[in-house]
Amino acid sequence: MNFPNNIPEDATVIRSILDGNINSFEILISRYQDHVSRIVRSHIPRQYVPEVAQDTFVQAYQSLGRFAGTGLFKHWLSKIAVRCCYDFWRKYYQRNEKQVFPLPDDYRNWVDHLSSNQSSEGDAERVEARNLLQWALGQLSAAERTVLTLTYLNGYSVAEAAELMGWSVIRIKVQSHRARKKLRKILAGILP
Amino acid sequence: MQSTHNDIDRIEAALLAAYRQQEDIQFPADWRQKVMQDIELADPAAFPKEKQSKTIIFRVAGALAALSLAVFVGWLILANIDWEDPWLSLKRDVTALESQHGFWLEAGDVDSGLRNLTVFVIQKALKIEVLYKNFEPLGGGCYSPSEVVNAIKIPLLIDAQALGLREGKALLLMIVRDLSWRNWFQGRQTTLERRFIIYPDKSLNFY
Repeated sequence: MNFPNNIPEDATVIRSILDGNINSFEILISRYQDHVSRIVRSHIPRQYVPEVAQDTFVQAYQSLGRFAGTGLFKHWLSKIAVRCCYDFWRKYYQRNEKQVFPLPDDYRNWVDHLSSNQSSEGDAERVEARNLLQWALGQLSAAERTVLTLTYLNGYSVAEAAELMGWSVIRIKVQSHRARKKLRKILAGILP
Repeated sequence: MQSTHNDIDRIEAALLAAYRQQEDIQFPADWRQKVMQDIELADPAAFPKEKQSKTIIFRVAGALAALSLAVFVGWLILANIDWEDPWLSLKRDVTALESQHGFWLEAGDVDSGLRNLTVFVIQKALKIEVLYKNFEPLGGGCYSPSEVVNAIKIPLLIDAQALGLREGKALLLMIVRDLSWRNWFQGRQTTLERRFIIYPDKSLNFY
């Protein structure tokens, strides 16, 4: 599909896709691949990011007819990405009932390292910290994990998180508060 | 306790810092082709306009159903609102009566109609039900207005001797209820009391 303008606007591309030019969707993919990747990466372990990003674009394509066009396509796509991440965790927890991520063997070193006020900015420490965070988040439910990632780790406001999840502000507040409390309790358990 | 809080704060801060320093991810080279293949395989029925029109139909049907329900519930409530208490009166309210005493008891309700009427004679601990009439239409809450009794006139006979009443003071207590939903679906109620004296010759005297 050739567009008269070299850089067609989202609305033009979407209209073209809805008219049956499926290949135009590739323009949206190349335009928003990094954006979707960033969102998904903030929720999902690295090895699963391409898979969930793919789901996001396929779902966006299937729901394109419901995109009202009143807001930005980017925001609409962000919501789909967040919900795909939430769905990923729900399915993941269903498949792996017990221990989602094991407690890293070397977590004690990392905690000791931190307790002795030493700098923990090396790559190895960062990996240990991320593994420990994955383990701690793995103790939460899919909903708590997704909400906590949005509000606490990514710094979204409650209203923004509610918009992305399609939930009420109250529900996000409750989940976020509960999840943060749980996370602190889990972290207290690893203290020497 | 405070040191534990501080330790957790430090761990949280370190985890947060590590979380925010994430490297970019390299997608597989054929990732985009795979997405496009998936899209080409996607069910055409799931595609746009058809689904949108279905959604509109469902929404309109849902809105109509909700509106119908609201109208029905509104009608049900308005039809059963009851503003007036039922009324009750005793005719031939004379002061001196003979052994057997006949009255005309009249009752009615202008809104929902009569539910029931009960008459008691009470003397000290003795409480005798001398009349009970149920006017509630059959069929629970579903009945036509023609089945409702709005007013009645009933003869009431009180024979002090037959009822085993002794001489002295007594009370005639009449209770009527209507068909409204007030008082937890028991209906509005009106009570009429008449005090009287039974003489040795079993005549009654209201006072």
